[in-house]
Amino acid sequence: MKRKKKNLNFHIGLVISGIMLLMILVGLFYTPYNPEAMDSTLKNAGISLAHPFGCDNFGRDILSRIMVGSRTTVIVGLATVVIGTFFGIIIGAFTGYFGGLADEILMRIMDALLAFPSILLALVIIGLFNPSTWNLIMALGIAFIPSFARIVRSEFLKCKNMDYVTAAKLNGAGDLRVMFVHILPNTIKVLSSSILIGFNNAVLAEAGMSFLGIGVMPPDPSLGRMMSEAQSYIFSNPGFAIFPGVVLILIILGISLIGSYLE
Amino acid sequence: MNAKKIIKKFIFMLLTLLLVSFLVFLAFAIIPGDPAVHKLGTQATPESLEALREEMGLNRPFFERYASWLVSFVKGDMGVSYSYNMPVGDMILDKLPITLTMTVLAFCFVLIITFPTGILCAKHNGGKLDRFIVILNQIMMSVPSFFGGILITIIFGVVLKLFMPGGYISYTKNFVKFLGYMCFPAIAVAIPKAAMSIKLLRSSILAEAEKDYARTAYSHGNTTGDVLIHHVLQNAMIPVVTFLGMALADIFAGSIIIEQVFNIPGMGRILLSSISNRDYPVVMAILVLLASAVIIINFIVDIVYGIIDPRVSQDD
Amino acid sequence: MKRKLFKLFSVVVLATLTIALTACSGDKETASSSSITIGIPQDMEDSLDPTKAVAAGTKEIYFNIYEGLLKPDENGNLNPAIASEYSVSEDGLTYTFTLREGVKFHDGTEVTAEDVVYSLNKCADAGMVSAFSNVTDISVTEDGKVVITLEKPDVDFNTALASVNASIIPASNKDPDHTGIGTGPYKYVSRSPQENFILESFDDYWGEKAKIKHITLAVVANTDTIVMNLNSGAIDMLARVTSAQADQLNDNYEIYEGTMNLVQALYLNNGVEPFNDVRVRQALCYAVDKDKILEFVSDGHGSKIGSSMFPSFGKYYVEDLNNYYTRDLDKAKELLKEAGYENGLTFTITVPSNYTQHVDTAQVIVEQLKEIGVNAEISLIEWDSWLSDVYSGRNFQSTVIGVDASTLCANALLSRFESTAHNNFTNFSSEDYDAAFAKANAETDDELRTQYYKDCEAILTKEAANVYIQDIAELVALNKKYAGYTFYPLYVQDFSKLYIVE
Repeated sequence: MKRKKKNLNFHIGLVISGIMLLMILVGLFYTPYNPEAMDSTLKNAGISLAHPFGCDNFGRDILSRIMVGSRTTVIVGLATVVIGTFFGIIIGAFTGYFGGLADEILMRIMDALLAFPSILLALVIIGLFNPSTWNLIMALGIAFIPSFARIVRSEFLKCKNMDYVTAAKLNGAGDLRVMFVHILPNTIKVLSSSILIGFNNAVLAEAGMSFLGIGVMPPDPSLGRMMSEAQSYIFSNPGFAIFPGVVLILIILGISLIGSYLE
Repeated sequence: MNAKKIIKKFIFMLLTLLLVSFLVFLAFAIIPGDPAVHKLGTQATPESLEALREEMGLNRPFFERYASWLVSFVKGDMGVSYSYNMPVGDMILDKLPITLTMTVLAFCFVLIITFPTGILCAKHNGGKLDRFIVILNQIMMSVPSFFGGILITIIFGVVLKLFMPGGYISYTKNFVKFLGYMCFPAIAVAIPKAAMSIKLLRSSILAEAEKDYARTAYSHGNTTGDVLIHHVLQNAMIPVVTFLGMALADIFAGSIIIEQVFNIPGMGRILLSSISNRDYPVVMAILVLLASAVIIINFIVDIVYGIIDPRVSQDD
Repeated sequence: MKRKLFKLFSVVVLATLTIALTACSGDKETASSSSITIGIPQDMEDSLDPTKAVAAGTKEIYFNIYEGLLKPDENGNLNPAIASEYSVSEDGLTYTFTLREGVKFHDGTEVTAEDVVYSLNKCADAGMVSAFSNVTDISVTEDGKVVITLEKPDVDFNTALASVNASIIPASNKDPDHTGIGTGPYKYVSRSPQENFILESFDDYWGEKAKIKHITLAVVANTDTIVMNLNSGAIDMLARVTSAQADQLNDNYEIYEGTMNLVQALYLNNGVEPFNDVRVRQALCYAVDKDKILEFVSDGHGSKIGSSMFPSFGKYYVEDLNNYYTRDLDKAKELLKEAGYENGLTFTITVPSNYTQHVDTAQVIVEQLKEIGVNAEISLIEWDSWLSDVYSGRNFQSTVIGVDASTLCANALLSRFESTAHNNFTNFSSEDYDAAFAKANAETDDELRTQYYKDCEAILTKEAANVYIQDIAELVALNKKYAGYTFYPLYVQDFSKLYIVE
């Protein structure tokens, strides 16, 4: 019973994520309209056959912009997770495996960084530079490193005295080999669900930052940016805010359903 | 956990606090953008800029500035805001009640929603209601808080007219109305957090219910509801309460965005405007205070855990 | 234990619900009949000392609290205020002011000649008004008149005296940064950062008294919630709503239409590639369609401009310059080809992110330039970074911004294009311009002077110094309970003329 339900969740998650991915992939080659083409006769046009999601305040097709915008959003999420995981694994692996003074110092810094909620950290980092998509990815990536480093470190702490590690060492495997060939694969299960959660958090953070006006730059569409632009037209063109919002929710929902299965 | 360990942890906590203050100070020292330029705006001349930099103490060496800032900060003097020309401490004291009220309200809402719903779900595990709530929960967790805020504004403010969107009333003017207004942003912040804690509570109850003591209670003829409330819940609450403790900082961070949606002049607003104004004293004070609160809460949780559960104190 | 927990729990539930319900039921504010809540998009972060005020958003409010010797009116005239009359010596070097009798400060004391000397010296020291650098002496005569002596003749010096920075404040005020005392129709009551700024009418005002007693200036930091705040009645007035916002307002609001008195342009850094080539600048002028920009950004409201001058400056404004460049894509491409950019051109437009109109304008420009093969990219930066990088550092290729006039004379909009001007952020350099501008400044005959200024404007247009776009439409939303909103040819708000409709 329980298993079946979890399976169902997983399948629903796969279907939703699949549709979203398909939309993004199609958006690479084809969009119904040029997402940046403006048309003053279509300003805030409502839903129609030609424009199923309507048009925005510059008369740009919302569906086309969502197709391109969700790509930006997903890329920001992915890149953030890649940066966070990569550096998180390196820092976590070395500190967890070797321990010692370097561990203490690095973990103090990680603790210090973890004391700031990640969106706040990203906000301050973006404050260091000017907002742009790349700086946003960098800021979020850095903000996500400490939590990944902590997870990897505690896994390494748990594993480093286990029998299979000792056995590998007795067989003459070097430290690096033990760390990345023997221990790392054993952390995948824990890591993969935190990667999925991290991805969702990064997507939400992108939306939040773009909402505050310090994320993706116009005229590039991103879901967060579109929703913040749409607020001014919430009465005259509610679809402008609602459609990107729904797509954003679906992206996160799909991933979290898959994630809850992995847990 | 012995006294020596506690002292060691305490020293580490102080080190972390020091590190936080240093990182924050460093970050704002290397940020491009000059507070003197901001202050003088389009009318600046090189001479007036130089004079103002001297007056603001921006020309002194980095470590000298850090040391003097830290010493006065510890003494409770957080400096003077560059843009408002008023003591940072006063500004924060003025805004803290607003954000604190929202955080506390949101926290109460999380509690009010979580416990009945979580228990209900666990009681009817696998039933229609349970499945409906689980699905609803997944969706609620996926809603960005500002989107939720916009929806709440439209539903409760524009359609039902339960409150006046943007009609924030200061707590000094009318406390009851202030609370009434703050309920709505608090709900927006509370919903995703409540969804997460319901999920946690539900699975934690189900896991506890599988355990021997719960099975024994059932075999003594207690009804499901009795066992749940009297035996299981107390144990199941531990991970949830931990989560809620951690969630406090998140709720605060979430309030930065929600304050924008509901036009509330709280700490988040001050923080955002100070970041873009390069009003270093204000930003640093808020960041350091917030991080300190988080670190101190973590320290207390750590100690309490070490006392309850000796296994935890081994490492990490 | 569990009982207690449950009790506590239910108490929390009940208490929260009760508070929520009781608070919600009595939400309608019983507004006192003579008060108004006015939304302001940014907080006023300046000192309360008017001589130090920087931000345009602050100065336009201070206009209600502080006054100078002279005061502008809505028709662009300079009227005596603290001074009742004044005379200028024949060589144009000495200004003599007779003070008005019985003008009182908000603290009840009378304005003295010493206060005037103190304030004007303070203004000169603060350096916010460039015309004051020409002042050699400010003194009081035996019969209580104030005499200002200049180094060089300056016919427009009187306009500087009407600027908010040259306001008269009491010399007895020991803490002008935090205690705002002026002579205006409204007096400062209190402020709360990022929340509000409260004013109250001044009963002993020397001129026509304000009609509304209490004014609350509420900070609306998130401009996207403006429509909701107005429709819900949380604020009664907001200057500078966009046309899209105005369209969504309910019947309770009247929209007053004027212009912002800004020279909005795609400002080009004439000192760097590719804009050091006049042909590239002209090509952009030919490629940009001002009408379309107006249509996208403000539904066709606003006035097109062709040089660094806007219509409300009346006699200095040259309408013909608007159509000097009519959209001609072939000509634009040809000019680009001549300049060696036939294979296209890429450049960056740096825009401060807090100004929606400028960001929107930049987006439209990017689209229009694509048609001549020019690839422009937008970089949004904080207002602060804009000031340091673009305005002070001149480290940019192009930017969209609106420049306002600090005083009521053409000089305020034209002086920055003199090649050596300290605020010539576009690095514009033209010998013809410098000559024409110098001639205008030296001229004491008003008609000739105006003609020389017009010559300056024409040079800016022909040289395509910048792509001049528009004076942005200013739409003011005012609840129909109130009336009397008045537009000025300067960036000011006059609250004293607002009144309640019976």
